[in-house]
Amino acid sequence: MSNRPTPRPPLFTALRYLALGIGAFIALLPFAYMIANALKTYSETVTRVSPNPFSPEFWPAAPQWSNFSEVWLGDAFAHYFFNSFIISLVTLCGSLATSSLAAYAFAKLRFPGKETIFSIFLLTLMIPETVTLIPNFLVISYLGWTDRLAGLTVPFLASAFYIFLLRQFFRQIPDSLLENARMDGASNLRILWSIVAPIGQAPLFTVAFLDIASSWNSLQWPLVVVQTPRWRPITVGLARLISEAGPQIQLRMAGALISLAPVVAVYLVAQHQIVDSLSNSGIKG
Amino acid sequence: MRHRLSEAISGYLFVLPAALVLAIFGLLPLLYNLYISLFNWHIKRATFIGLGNYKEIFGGVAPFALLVISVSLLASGCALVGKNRKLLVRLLALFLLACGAAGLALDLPQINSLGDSDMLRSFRVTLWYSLGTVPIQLFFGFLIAAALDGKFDGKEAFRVIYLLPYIVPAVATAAVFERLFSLRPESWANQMLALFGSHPLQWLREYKGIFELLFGLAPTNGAGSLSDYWSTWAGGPSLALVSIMFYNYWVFIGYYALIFANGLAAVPRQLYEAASLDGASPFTMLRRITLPLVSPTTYFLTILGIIGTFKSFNSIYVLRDPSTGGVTDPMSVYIFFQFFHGGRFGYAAALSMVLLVIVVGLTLIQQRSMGKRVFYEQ
Amino acid sequence: MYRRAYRNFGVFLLLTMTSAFALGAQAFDKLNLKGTAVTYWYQHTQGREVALKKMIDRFNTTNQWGITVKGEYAGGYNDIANKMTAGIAGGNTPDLVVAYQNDSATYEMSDALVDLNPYVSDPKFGVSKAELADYFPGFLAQDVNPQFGNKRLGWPPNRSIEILYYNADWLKALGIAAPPKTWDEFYEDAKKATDQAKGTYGYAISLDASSVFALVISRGGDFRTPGGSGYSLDTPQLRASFAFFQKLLKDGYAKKIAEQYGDQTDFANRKVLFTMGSTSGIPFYDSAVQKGAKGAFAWSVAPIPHTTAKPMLNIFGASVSVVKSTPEKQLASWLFLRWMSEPSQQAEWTRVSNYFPVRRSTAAQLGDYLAKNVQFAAAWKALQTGDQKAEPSFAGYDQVRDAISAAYNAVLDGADVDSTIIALNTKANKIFQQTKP
Repeated sequence: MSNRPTPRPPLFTALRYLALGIGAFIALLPFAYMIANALKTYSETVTRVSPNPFSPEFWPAAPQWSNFSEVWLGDAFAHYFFNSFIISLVTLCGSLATSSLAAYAFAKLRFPGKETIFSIFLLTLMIPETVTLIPNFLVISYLGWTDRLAGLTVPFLASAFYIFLLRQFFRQIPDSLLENARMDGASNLRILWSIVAPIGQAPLFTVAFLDIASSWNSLQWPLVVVQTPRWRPITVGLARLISEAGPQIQLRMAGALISLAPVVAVYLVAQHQIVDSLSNSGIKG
Repeated sequence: MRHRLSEAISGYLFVLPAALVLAIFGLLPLLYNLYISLFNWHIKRATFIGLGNYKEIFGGVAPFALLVISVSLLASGCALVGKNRKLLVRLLALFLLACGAAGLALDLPQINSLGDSDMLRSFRVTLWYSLGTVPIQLFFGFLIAAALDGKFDGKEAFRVIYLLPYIVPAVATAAVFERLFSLRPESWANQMLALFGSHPLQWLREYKGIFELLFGLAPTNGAGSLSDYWSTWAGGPSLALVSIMFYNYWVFIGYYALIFANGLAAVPRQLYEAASLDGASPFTMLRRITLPLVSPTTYFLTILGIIGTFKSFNSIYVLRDPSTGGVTDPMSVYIFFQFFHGGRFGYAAALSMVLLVIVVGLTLIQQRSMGKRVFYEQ
Repeated sequence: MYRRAYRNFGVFLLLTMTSAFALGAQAFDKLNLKGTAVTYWYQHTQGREVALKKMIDRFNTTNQWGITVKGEYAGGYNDIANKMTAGIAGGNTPDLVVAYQNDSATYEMSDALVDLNPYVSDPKFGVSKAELADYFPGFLAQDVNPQFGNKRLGWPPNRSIEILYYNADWLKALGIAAPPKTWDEFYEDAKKATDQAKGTYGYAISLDASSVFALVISRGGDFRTPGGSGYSLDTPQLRASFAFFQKLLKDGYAKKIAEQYGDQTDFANRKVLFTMGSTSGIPFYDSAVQKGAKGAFAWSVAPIPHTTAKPMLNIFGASVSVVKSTPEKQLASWLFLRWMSEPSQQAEWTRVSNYFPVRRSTAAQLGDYLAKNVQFAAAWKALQTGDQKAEPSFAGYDQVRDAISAAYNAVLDGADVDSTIIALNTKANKIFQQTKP
């Protein structure tokens, strides 16, 4: 891909910016709404209303930062954050490990029944979560893992989706590269670690990010598995807040912002990598 | 020889951890589900009833048999249509299709009255949901991707912005949408309508279909079961469901756009340059170069999208309201409530097996119809 | 000649009863409760949770049997119901759990709960007849479930009623002397409050099935068939209620609630005169009114308008159920429940939670509280003066509740009242057949 800007007729450029601008406005509007409402007083949320984010009526007369402290102090959000963090981290390590191993095997190794096994893996993608909820809970209870870190992480240590994505990418790595390494006596594990992984940074980043986002946002499972505040994640904490705040939408919005802040922060910091890798997760063919 | 054996062993070992997790937490539940579906199971107490649950879903053996026959006729008709150019074969294919369609047309009202009409409705909701989200997300995703193509100032910023809705927890953003699309005259959606001189709508609380609201295509009531049933399709997806679709667009279009953007970027520039030298119009270039080369991405996103809508849960769960009477509930949500409201495990398990068959069937159909059109670069 | 037979029979009866008594008493007596620990899943948060935990601590330190109770927040009612469903399936349950009557019915379909009748009537560990009479009539009857042979599947820690919220200042400004007692008065009052230009209206329509039940009983109806063998929703009372509000909406004096808690928001911001809701919402309304635009105003609650002689009150509330486990844990759980329902605990709980206590004598300890809390006192008065009815406790009732909301919504949107109600009744009875034990 060339690096110099491709020359385009000015009309095209104007249209481009117009289309992208409208899209960006739509994408950001709900966030603006969240921020504006999180900073309003309760009565302002009803009386000072406007659909237009460019008009002052959309925003509070004076920002009520106290809404955030009210939400934060009303519950053990710091602890919930910590829990979500640990859960995501553990799940992430497991996911990356199992998925890269399996993807490598499917992409580069030969063993009988490979395609059949892969198809069976893909089958698991078609199963709605509701179906797996009860049986998984039964297994977790039997193992005594309810309300423990293991119960919140182990069922998510592998995903056929990530295996699929990684396999697509690994397939494109030239066999010759691997043959050379093999001839030098490297084991498959070594090849995976030293050659394939570095090349596959982009898709691995994709998988990592998707996994973190999915762990962080998961609600259904923790609701059932978590009994005490010990391992309660941030999503459950937010759901609790929503039921308590009642009609006070400004507190709900403040709570929502608090719970999405870490994900957004990570995203903004690593955005270049993430966006690049996410767009590379599509199929080239 | 030894090399092959050790390679095979490595292969199995590498696959083992993932296989273990997926087997226990992915496949075992399926088998367990199948097992439960054969019982009248209320959380813990169960009596074996064989196919009783399935009978209740379809309303008996006859409607089910007719359903299977109709679907097979349709499937074989479709398979024949593409294959052969011979007139006789084509006529046969058309005949099969017609019989299959007629069978369905007669059968579904039967299932509706004898079997689980709520399940049938949730199936219809799922179809509308699929039809209403996937094509639009593909179209606008592609459009935005085209706008993002090439190098220009601000590209990075735009890419970041477009992905933001996707990465943020649904619990948080759905709460905002509930307010934006509330039935208050001052809600954002109604204010937008007011700009166009329209009166406020009930959005997330409107159970009437959009075609009914726009064109007056209301379901007939009492005109006979055939007309009564099929006219409910005429109303279209409920406005509440359409509001949820808007939420979906907001979340996913940026994501689709970025995946398309990569597909577009992989198209070699020289092809365009050569084509324009030959005097090809931008439209021809689109049709002959871009779309074919981007087809693997399109295919991937289509399958992802359709399976996604059949599995979809979170966005519906947080935005639905029971007062709309289930017109926003696709099959996965309906099944969830069967499990957890009233604890009819056996029945819910049977419903999920039916859902699974539908999803697998759709995927196979997709593979056969679209898979052939996908153009892979040599 | 028969005297001897009678006497023998009498002795026989006496002996049997005494030994049964003794056996019964002995069965609980034998249990060693020292060190028994039980877990309690509740849905309370913030202030209520803090207070509950304090009470639990007090029980743990002061109870004479050495029982320890561990309280845990387990989510909202729906979350707890989901968790219990999964828990019963997986063998992972608490010992005490908050549950609405239809939820406890669902759990009992898997034989998961303990029948509390033997505990209640136990001479040593039970509740005396005098104390039983102290409970509000009907409160205790709610947890006796006919679908399960009249087992007592829960014990009420508190109750709420469906009530009419009204803006007292506004009522006075409109020249209305008192909150409406009949539906005609309600209609007129709503009409007076409506001002299109100012954006005010009379009533924010609650689609909640508990509100609908309140409407139906206010006209002398019910949801159940007389024998309690199913649902009877196709009643003149439901038709009249639906038609009434269909008209009120069409005439412009009422509006549908826009979003969750939209009625509270409009009420606090002086946009609507009347709303209907549970008395447990009083503290939420209070905090909303304090923060409302244009500041606070005088407001209170009153019984729902009625055509019956006395006001009819829809009593509801989750009870606490005891889950089957070991005899020791079950007894320990029961003892905690019994302790919670003693008047001093009830008074303490009422003060902080704003729920109604279940025992009348609690009023004696609440004098100052009633004096300070105008709305609660008004609700309390309503409780004393009205008759009570409770919603069905059938398993699967929550699905019927959704169907009722949907039917009400359809009617408000202009659907035909008669055909909608007929369809609703059919659906409700279908659900009843599908979910009964």
